[in-house]
Order: sequence, then structure tokens, then C-alpha cells
Amino acid sequence: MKILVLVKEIIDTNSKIIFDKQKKIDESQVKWVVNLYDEYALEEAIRIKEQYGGEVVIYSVGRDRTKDTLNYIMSMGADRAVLIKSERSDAKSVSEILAKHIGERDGDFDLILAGWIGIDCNRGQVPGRVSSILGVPFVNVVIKIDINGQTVICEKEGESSNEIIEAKIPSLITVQRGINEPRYPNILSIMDKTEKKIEIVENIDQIRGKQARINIEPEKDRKKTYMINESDSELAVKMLMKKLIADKVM
Amino acid sequence: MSCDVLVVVEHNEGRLKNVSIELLSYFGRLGKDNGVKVVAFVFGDQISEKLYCDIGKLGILQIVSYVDNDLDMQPGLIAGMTVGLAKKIKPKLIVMANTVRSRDSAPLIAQDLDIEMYSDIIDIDYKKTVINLTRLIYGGKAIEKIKLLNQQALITIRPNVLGNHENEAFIPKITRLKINELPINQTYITKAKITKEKAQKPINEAEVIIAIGRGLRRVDDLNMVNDLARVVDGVIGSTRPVVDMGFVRRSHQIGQSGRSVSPRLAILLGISGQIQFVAGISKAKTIIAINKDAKATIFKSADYGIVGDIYAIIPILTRELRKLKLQNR
Ligand SMILES: Cc1cc2nc3c(=O)[nH]c(=O)nc-3n(C[C@H](O)[C@H](O)[C@H](O)COP(=O)(O)OP(=O)(O)OC[C@H]3O[C@@H](n4cnc5c(N)ncnc54)[C@H](O)[C@@H]3O)c2cc1C
Repeated sequence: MKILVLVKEIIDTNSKIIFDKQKKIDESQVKWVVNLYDEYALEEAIRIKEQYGGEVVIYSVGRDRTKDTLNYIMSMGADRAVLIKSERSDAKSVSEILAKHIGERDGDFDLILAGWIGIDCNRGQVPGRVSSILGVPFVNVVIKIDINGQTVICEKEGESSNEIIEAKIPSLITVQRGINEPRYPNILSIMDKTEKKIEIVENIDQIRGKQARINIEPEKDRKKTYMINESDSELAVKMLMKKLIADKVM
Repeated sequence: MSCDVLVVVEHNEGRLKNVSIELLSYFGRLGKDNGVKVVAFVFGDQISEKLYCDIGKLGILQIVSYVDNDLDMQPGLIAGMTVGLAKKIKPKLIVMANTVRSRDSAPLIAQDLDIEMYSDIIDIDYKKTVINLTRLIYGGKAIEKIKLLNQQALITIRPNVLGNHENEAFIPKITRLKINELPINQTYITKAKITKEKAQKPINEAEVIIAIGRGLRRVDDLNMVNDLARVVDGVIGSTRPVVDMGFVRRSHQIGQSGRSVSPRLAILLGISGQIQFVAGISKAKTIIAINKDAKATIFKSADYGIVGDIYAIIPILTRELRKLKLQNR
């Protein structure tokens, strides 16, 4: 089995996000980490490989610094990684870049796994777009994967019920938390920066057509809280009800 | 037929979903006030005259429909149909609900049409020459403002953010969609549906949410929360640890690694207010928090706070809300 895993390096949303004078996020002040869901995808890929043999290859579109993030996550047990350097970060360009380089290098993949969403920008677009370009089925938000000969059986999280889905190989599957518990990266392997095979490819960014203008601003805080600190619970609820009715919430 | 906006409608067995009512009535209003040409696209099973009528009532004149009682609602097929239609009528904006179903097919549609997509929109300002869109990023710490000038785009709009608009009712004109070929190589087989408990409304479509945190000690204590939820017609969601304990389904986890929601009302019970949770709830219109710790950070994100034990407060609150409900009937 050749399993490709799409990995996104993101700003650690736990770290404080500082805006500079141009209202741009000060990237020197943030920590870069692997998107949480992509770790589940990598863990699942490694488990499939452990059972059926084959190769696990990470694909990531990033910058120079992304090497360190990939180095860390590769120590979970990936065989190699392809880091495609590009200045692009919009979902459409990233998807097209990924699909192009996958097609050129590892077009004979059996599965592509990815996290179902990036917790930084919440877009949830890249996996679907990549599947569309590569022309393979797209099974989104999966919590269980079983290989069954030339097909793969997935449990997909649905709206009000889950679905059991059979897709052919090759397919692109995105995973949801709950599918597995990712292992910790191997410490010795993290420290040994020489042994890992990270292929770095420069992408030739195409000139883009007309783009929407996008600005980022800090989020405002909510208005003042109406606090009730009253030891008598009956009274506390009465006070809340009164206020809710006065404010027309109820 | 050409149009400005194509709204992809979602329905359950012929009944419009709330979020689709919001989208249709919002764009129906724009049609009336600003002359925006809107087409609604419905597909699937149990599509009846009544459904067309319901859409017309929201101020929509043009409906394209594809009736197929065996249609498997999978992303490859929905995308194939929508792309085919969009190529014919060339809408400037394709609008979908930010639901599980639409989020499966939306990226495929956007890529096939070679256009940008903006997901989970929480605010839209539609003008003739410019469309302003708002969405949240970085765990709710920042807002992304998008200015669409004249390029075709697809957007998914979060439920409960547009509200319902009263419009003059139309008798809609129905056009049947003919489909020549669907992208069969991009489809899969749906073998079974498993419903674990009785079907619950998706958390991101709920108007009222009761969210529980680790303040709830035992799974049996959910009965007390269920009583409260029933009175306010709410859906139960939770923080991540409560999902990890198996009390609540993962699809009903709120937060950065769960769902982002915008209910009219959220009642938060025994939740500390970590940023990863707040990221998902911060766009609720009204938030009531109950926590026994007066210093809990959740109060910073709430409109109303009660410092107290949820085990003491919930039954009283349930009783009082029931009283109010009976009075208002
Ligand atoms: C990468 C990442 C992603 C994450 N994603 C999410 C996410 O999507 N959603 C999410 O929720 N969390 C997420 N978390 C976890 C998050 O950081 C918090 O651990 C979690 O939100 C805390 O849940 P809690 O408030 O239920 O529990 P706690 O923090 O333990 O808080 C329990 C609260 O209940 C109160 N309490 C206890 N007993 C009572 C009582 N009887 N009456 C009243 N109050 C009581 C306590 O005072 C306390 O404030 C994520 C963490 C990481 C690192």
C-alpha cells in the first residue's frame, strides 16, 4: 500500500496571536505546529502500513520553516516526506500544487489520508479539492477505516446517523478525532535530523487571476456580563429569569 | 436562464431545513429589494408541489429541480449535478448551507468550476458591485473579512446567522434539470446507515444549545440536562472531555476541534471556558453560563452568569422555564 498523508503546518492557536501595525499577524511571535487532525491521519496511515506493508509519504505545502515541523511529525514513523515550497496559502492554490506534485511523483498511490479540517483557518477545502483534481472518490469525516482487498470500508460521521461506506482504492479519505490515539514521535528520531528523507521541492507559483481582497482583524470581546453571585439557588434563578424577560431573551 | 445567486437547498424528506429557509428568505429579500436574480436548486427524494410552494413563499421565483427517489446523497453526485447546473446558468455566487452534507460536496464543486470558496460564513453584506463576507479563524481569535468584487465564488453560510425574512410569496417557475453524465469514478457505495440513539438534530443547526462540561459528574445526570433541553427545545452539546468520557456523541462536541455554532441561545453548564471550547460558541447570540467557580473564565464569554452548583440550579431553572412556557402559550 502506498499511503500519502496531507499535512498542514499551522499557527498554534494556543499561542497568543499578535497583530502588527499593518494588522497583519506577527508570524515571528507564533509557534508552528502540525494541524491536530493530520496527526490522526498519519497515525492511521502508519497503522495500515504496519498491517499490510507499504510506504507512508507525507505531502505538505509550506515554507522553509516547515521542515522542522515535518521533521518532528515524521518521527511518528513516516517513510519520507515531500515539502513543496510555495508562497501560496489559499486553499485553491495549495490544492492544485499538492495534486500536481502528487501526480508527478506518487501518482500510483492507494490512499490519500488527511485531517478533515485545519483548525487554524477552518476552511475544510483542500482534501476535497485534491480528490476532485485527481479524480478519486472523496470520503469526508471518517472515524473508522478497514482495508478490504481492493476497496476500503469507512465509517463516516453523518448528520444524524453514521454511514458505512465502501470506496474503491485509490480514494481520498479525511479523518476525524476518535479514529485513533496518535503515538508520540520517537524522541531519538526527532533529535537525529540526518536520517530522515525530506525532499524539498520548489514550486513555480503561477500568476493568479483576479482575487478577492482579504483582511484579518482581531475579534472583539463580548459586552459586559450580567453576573449573579447568590448563594440561594432559587433566588439566583429568579433573578436570571427576570433579567432574561426584561432583555427579551425569553 | 441566467442568474446572480444559486442557492443549493437542503431538505429532509421534502421538508425544508431551517438553514435553507434562512438562505432562501435572505436572498428572496435581496431579489425583491435589489433585483438580484435568485435560483433555488432542489434535488433528492420526496420533492412535492408543497416543497415548491414553501420555497415560493420565501420570495423565490425560479426553482430548478432534480427529482430522483433513489438519489444517493453523496458528494461526488451532488457536486456533479451542481456543477452541471452552474455551468449552464452561470451564477455569480453559489450559496450552500454550512452543514455536514454541503461541506462534503462544496470543495468538489468549487474545484470543478475552478473558483474560490469561502466556508462557514457568519455575516454577509450583498451589494451589486461588492459582496462582503465575514468568517472566524485562529480559534475565534481573529476575523477574516473578504471582499468579493466580480469573481464567481462558492460560499457556505453557517446556520442561524441570517435569520428568517418575511417576503411576498411567489408562485415559482419550475425547471427540470436534465443530467447527461455524472462523475461515476468519484463516487462510492453507501452500505448502511447506523443510528445509535434516536436521531438528534445536528448541533450546528440547533437554535438553542445546552452545553455540558466536566461539571457534570455521571452519565445518569444527563437526565436532568435532558429535561432542561426539552423545555427550551434545545440540543445537547458538550466540551471535549465530556465527549471523551462517552457521554455525548463526537458530532456534538463544540469547539475548535469540534463544531462551531451560532445558536440564538446557549446555556453552558459546568464549563471552565478554555479558549478551545469558547472558539466554537463565541458567535452564539446569547450565552448563559453556570459555574460554581466565580473566577471561571467562561463568565468572560457569557452575557449572563450564575455562580452556583449546576445540580442545584438546573432543576430550578427547568421548572421556571417550564412555567414561563406554559404562561406564554
Ligand atoms: C488542540 C486542542 C483542541 C481542543 N479542542 C477542544 C474542543 O473542540 N472543545 C472543547 O471543549 N475542548 C477542547 N480542548 C480541550 C480544552 O482545552 C479544555 O480542556 C476543555 O474545554 C475543558 O472542558 P470542561 O470545561 O468541560 O472541563 P474543565 O476545564 O475541567 O471545567 C469544568 C468546570 O466545571 C465547573 N464545575 C465543576 N463542578 C461543577 C458543579 N457541580 N456546578 C457548576 N460548575 C461545576 C468547574 O468549576 C470548572 O470550571 C482542546 C484542547 C486542545 C489542546
